[in-house]
Amino acid sequence: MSMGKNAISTESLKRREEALELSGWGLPFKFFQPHNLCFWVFVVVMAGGLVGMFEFYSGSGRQLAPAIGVGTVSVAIYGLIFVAILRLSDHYERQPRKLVLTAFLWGGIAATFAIAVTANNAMLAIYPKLFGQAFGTDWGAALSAPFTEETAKAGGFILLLGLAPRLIRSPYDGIFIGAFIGLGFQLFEDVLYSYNTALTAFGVDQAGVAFSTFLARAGTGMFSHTLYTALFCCGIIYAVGTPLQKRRLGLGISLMALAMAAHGIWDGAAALGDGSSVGLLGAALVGVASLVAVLISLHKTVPEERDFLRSILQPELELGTISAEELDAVCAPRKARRRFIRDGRGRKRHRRRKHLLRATLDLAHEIARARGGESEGVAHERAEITRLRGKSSPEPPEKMGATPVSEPTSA
Amino acid sequence: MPDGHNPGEDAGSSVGVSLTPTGRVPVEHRFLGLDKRTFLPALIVVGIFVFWAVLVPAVNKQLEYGQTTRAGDVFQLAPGLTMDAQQGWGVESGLLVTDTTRSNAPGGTVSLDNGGVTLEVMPGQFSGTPEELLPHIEKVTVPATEGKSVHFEGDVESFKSSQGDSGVAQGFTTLAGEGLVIAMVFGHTGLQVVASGPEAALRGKADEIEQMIDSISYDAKKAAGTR
Repeated sequence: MSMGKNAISTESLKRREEALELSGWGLPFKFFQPHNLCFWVFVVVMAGGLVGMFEFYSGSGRQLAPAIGVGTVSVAIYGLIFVAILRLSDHYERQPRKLVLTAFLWGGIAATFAIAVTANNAMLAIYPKLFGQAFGTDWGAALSAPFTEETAKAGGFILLLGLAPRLIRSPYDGIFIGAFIGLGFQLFEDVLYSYNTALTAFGVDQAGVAFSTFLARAGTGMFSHTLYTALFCCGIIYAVGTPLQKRRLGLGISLMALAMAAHGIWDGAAALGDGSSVGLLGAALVGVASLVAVLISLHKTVPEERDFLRSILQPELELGTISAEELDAVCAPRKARRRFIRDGRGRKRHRRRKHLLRATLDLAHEIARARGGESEGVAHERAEITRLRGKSSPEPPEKMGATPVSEPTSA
Repeated sequence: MPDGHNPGEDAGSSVGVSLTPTGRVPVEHRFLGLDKRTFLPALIVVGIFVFWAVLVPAVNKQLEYGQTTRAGDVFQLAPGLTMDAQQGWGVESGLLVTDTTRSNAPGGTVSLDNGGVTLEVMPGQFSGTPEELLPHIEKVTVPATEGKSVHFEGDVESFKSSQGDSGVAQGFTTLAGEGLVIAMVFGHTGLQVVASGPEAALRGKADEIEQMIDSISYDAKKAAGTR
């Protein structure tokens, strides 16, 4: 080991190593795992979903192509907005794209067409047989979808836990991976609804019918599958426990039950409100309660993410790459970050400070990818910070100009 | 379920399976080349799939219709639009005018079954004539429910119900049997009627089907009152 003028303490390096080990930050997601039964179950159910989707649309898919097309395009644009919101919210360490995509596809294809469509059809037929047509009309959806759909989506999350146990460890991870499973389900279901509505309108004015269906569903999209599944999967993490999250079975089951209740109340809003808008109001309130539960869970787990980030970047402070103020800012909540950015006068200065924080976060991600060692990416991000600081010259860190002293801690 | 303490996990990878340097699952965890530690989450999902996609549909098939039509039953198809039922048909779906729903459902599709013959009456928004509606039904909705093997044959026949409402009808065949599709329009509501089943059974129920179609009546005032 070559020692530079700004040596990194062994303690800092150890903390960084522990943070990387515990958090799983920077690890890639490998889907192809032939020794893992979860991989094979995922593949088989996904294949079933693809066949189910093909069968579903094969009857009149060609005739209803305009409805499917309008539904798909609208939903894709809408989905991109959701994806952007979710990715931006995942500030500290974004989950690997491949993992997010795998979660999304499970929600959209496997959960929807291999399980939910079949199960819902059966359940919606069973209730009238057992309790009469009026009961089935009022409560069929509310007593089917929360069970069939939430468990179908959760199935994907359980498989991903088996496929990437080191990447999905905190309730924070549960919320984001769950949100993407739910988003996939929501978007594919929206297209399915566009198709069904066009079908019940005998294929007349397909584009108009599909778009109005999309608008109706998009308006309530906030309190839909993305939220329910985020909450449900967060509950799963609490219920099963991980090295990062001590098992809290009661809390986990409560969160899962809240997700199902919110889903059921939404689907049964008309019957609950006796045909009035009271039911819708009640459903909206439960939806807000679910959102609050997600936000509280995030609020409780985000400090842990910040601690990981601090542990990963601490050696960079000792190295002189970043200043203490910058380290505090990048690990701080959104408001404090904004205060740091807006400190001082001038838009140019604000923009540079913002870029500096972003580059520091990029450096943390590269360090995580290199498992705490040196890499071209790490060197590049350090150089980026130096470049940006050169632009905003007035505030060099105390130990500017140091050279990296640590050797890779792991490969 | 991963408990997070996978002892042999590969430190540089996110994977759930820890392999030996020779690429094998450690012998104490190996079963048919698979890692036994991944069985629990996988089997939970297999259980979810089997329960919802196999078991529940099988239970549904075993259950008999809870409701069979009785003399005097009248189905609510849409606001102001009703159909009198013939006795003895199993009700797969459909609300009677006497059914009270908390959601104030305005009626909907009626699906009946009797001796292998099914009768489905589906209302939907449509402005036009029965002659204009029929091609849409034949092109779009019937293939979706009856499958692509449906083949329409014979002339399109016009008729007038005993209520004085006009409609058009055409026969079709499928791999499983034959059927009849009818299009009618009431105000801004189009009505698709599909009767299908094995040839002999369908002929045996032809009178009852005809009487049910004949009984479809529309009250424009009631329909307007619910808008």
